Amino acid sequence: MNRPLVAALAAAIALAAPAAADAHGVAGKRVFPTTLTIDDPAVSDEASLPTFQYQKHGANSDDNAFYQYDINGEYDKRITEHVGVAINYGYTIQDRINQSSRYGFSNLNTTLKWQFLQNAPHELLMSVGVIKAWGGSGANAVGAAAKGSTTPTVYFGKGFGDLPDALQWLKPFAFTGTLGYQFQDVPTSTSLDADSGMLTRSSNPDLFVWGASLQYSIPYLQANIKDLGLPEWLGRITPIVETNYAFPVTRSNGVNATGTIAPGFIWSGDSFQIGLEALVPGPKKTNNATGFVFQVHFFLDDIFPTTLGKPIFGN
Amino acid sequence: MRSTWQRVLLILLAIFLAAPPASAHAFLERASPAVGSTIHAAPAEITLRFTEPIEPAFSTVQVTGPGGERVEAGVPRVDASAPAVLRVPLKALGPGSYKVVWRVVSVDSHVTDGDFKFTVAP
Repeated sequence: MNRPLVAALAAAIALAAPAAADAHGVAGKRVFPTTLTIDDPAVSDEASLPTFQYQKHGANSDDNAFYQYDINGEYDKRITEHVGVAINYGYTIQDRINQSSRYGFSNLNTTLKWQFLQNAPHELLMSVGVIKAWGGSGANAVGAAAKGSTTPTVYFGKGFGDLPDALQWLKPFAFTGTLGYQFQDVPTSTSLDADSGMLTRSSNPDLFVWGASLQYSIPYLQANIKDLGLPEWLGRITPIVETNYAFPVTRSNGVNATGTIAPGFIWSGDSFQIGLEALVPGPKKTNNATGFVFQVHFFLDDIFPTTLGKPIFGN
Repeated sequence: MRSTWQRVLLILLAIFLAAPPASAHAFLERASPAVGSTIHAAPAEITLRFTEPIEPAFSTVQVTGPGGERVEAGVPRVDASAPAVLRVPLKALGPGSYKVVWRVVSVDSHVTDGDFKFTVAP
């Protein structure tokens, strides 16, 4: 066994200092499940392992069309009860239709987030954070940018549990979202085309990035509004639609908006959740086909309540 | 010869397998009278079944009647044979709508709360 590796893991476990708090995205009666394609409004001790994504990019007639498979992992760690970090990294396989396949890591992403508002009566969570994409940490061959970006972001989650009782069937609805502005580390970049061997110069526009989810919590319905007598496995499902878009706002020279609409469901267990969503391309210009994303997500505060599941500092 | 990634995966797997039994948040799984139900016979007690064992010393249940009056006849007690079940004795209930407000602490100290209504029909 690799001793430095074991030592690093042991140190990480030892660093988890004592404390106790609520690591889930919880506001009053509302539990916000972890969304698959956009970030959550809460900080947490959780891990997504793995997130598997499949989507065909480009039309069959397109020489550059390919089937893309992404396998990602994310680790979320609270520093204090309301401040956390996240690390996201993944591996990409592009199975090209008319060319040889490409493989490599995507760029490393890290997030620093502060959850500054948790309002129980109104089931409201809000956070602010900064996402750093580390340019050059992934493989250029699979589209990982050579230069990085920095994205200040606002996160929010709002449950509808404070609606009047006359609208009680709408109370299980919740809405989450993110709004961010992505600054590119450098406005233009030069890269080597793997096929032609030519140097290409491209514009790196700043982007307005946003995401949203609309979800209907069957667990909330069963526990707070009306017990429909559903089997336990069915009573743990949250149907959900997520969407995310990125629009160029500067130097857009030919760079198109990108985005997806992702309908699916999340099944919440006691210490993990499973999510499955279709990935429907948003802008038609991309010629992408419908794909899917599947995720297994672990609640480390429930699995390791006395070690990895606690914030490093404070209660 | 194993790659570094294989070693990392093996270590992560070992950590998860070596983890103590998960003791997660206690969410309400079933209640009697059922959430949102209408019943014709007044219940003698409220029974709340949670997804995890709970700590009775730090858990509360309040039941209020149609006029806002409290109708519990005693403190919540955990079922001796089922540590995830909380029972609350009730006074004699007349017809009307009743609201149950609960707040429980699971044995690993996670706090959850919720509320629901049931109706006693004449």
